[in-house]
Amino acid sequence: MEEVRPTRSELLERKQQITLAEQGMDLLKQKRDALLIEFMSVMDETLRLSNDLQRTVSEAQYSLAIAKAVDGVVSVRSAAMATRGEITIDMTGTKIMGVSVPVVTKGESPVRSSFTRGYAITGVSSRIDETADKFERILDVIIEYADIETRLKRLGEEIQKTNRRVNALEQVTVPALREQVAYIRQALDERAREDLFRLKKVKKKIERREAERRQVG
Amino acid sequence: MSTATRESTRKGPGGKDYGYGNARVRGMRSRLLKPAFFEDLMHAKDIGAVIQTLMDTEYSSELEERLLQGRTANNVDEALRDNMVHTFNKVLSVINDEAYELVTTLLGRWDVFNIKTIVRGLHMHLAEEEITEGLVPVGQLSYIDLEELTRQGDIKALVDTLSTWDLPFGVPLREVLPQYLENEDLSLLELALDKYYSEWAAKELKGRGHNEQLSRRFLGIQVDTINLVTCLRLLNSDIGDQDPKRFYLPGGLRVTEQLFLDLAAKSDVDEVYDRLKKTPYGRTVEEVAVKYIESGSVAVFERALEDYLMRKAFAAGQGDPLGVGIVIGYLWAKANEVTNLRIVVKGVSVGMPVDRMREELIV
Repeated sequence: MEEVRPTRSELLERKQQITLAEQGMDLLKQKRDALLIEFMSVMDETLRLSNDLQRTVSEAQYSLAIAKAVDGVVSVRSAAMATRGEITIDMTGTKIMGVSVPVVTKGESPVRSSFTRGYAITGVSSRIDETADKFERILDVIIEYADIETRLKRLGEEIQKTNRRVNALEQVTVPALREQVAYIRQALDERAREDLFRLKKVKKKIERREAERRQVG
Repeated sequence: MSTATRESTRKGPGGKDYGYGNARVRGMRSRLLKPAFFEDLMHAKDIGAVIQTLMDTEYSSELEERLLQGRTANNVDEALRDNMVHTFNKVLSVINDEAYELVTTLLGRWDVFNIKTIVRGLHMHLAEEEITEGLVPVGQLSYIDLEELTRQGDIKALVDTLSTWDLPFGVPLREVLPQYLENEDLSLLELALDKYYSEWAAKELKGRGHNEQLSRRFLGIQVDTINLVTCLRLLNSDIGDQDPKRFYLPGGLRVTEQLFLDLAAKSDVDEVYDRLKKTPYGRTVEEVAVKYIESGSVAVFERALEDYLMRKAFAAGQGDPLGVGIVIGYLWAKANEVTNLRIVVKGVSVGMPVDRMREELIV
């Protein structure tokens, strides 16, 4: 235990600290609850997007396997040469319950039409075209998923951090302060009893002197 | 810029005598794999078993060479392509001059495919090796020619070289080159090539002889197939302010420009079927209409039309024993066999159910 001066002012100070710690703890618990509500709703969205991503990936992989089988790897490779491009992503930030989270948004949708993919549709089979479309949809979902997953991760980290603070206040700080208050109170009571005892002693001594003086007189 | 000259390496028999060439081709046709072989192959437990089975076929030498780099589905695919290239070139080397002219005109779509691959590679500044890996030299242009074109460094130099070689494909590219250089829109070059090829091939096959007419009909069905698939793709897409006419390929048999524009203006597949029902493609479209509505995939129609084209090729192969139909029928049957093998190889390697593989196999 840290060294505590058993004085009344110290007792008052400790009591104020306990009140402050309990208020902080309540606020942190409220924050944690609000973060949990936000976390659950983001979690639902993340699960939805995760399922979406899994489905899109498996559909795209199947389409690619069929395109490679029917049109041949060379045709797929050749069409892929024409469709190379860039994806623009905007990164900004926002705050949820005071937590900074990055916001990832698509600059321009990666899903292109058959007429803007680079190749002419007259020379590329619809199997390859549909495969390209499905892979572009994967990119589209991945960007959304990256945004929501980062948000989920940051909220999770913040909930953990808040929880640790609540636990520290609840399990360590407040009990320690209460212990200190108890100690100070005990020390002050002890001192008060000693003073009382001393006063009684002095009183007895004075009374004894008074009695002796009366007998001599 | 290279202006290398191009020499023909053709050494086949001259004239119009189909006897020798067709006898050789019929011999090759007898070695095509039978449906029962595919049935057995689909039940192979893994890619190793597929390779083992294929080692006992005509594909063994190409497989041995490619599998040195690993026993993967991709290497089997490369071996199948090598075999197809060897087979096509072998056929071209044994047929007579007339058949050679007709068949290389039909195979011009592969020349167009190769030129497009090179154009795409040069547009994206890819390495030469990366471009040449995707070539299928089964037309007029040999692998050496295509390598030379790949070495040109940029599209302008490629167009110049094609013009120097006096190949027809230089003409459309030269026409749209200024537009391409202005906005770097690759599809302009590709569309110009596709349009030019179908028109050029139709002109090349305009003779009155039975073989020319058969080849012309076959080309016409190919072009019709592309035009019909394009119509169906237009039906599903927002083309903005683009004129659908620019996607029409001339040289078809039944799908005229007017029919193409009519179809492209339709709002759903029922209307397309109504308009097509009096053409030979009506039944094919009707057969898969429900499947299309269920899946929403144009590939369903494309596949049905490819099957139709394949049946026509097989029919051509059963006709005049001294005509070009034997050669056309064989080449398309060979390409079909390679496609079916690819489907089984890919299917087995990814664990596709046998029923699904059977569904994907082409006629």
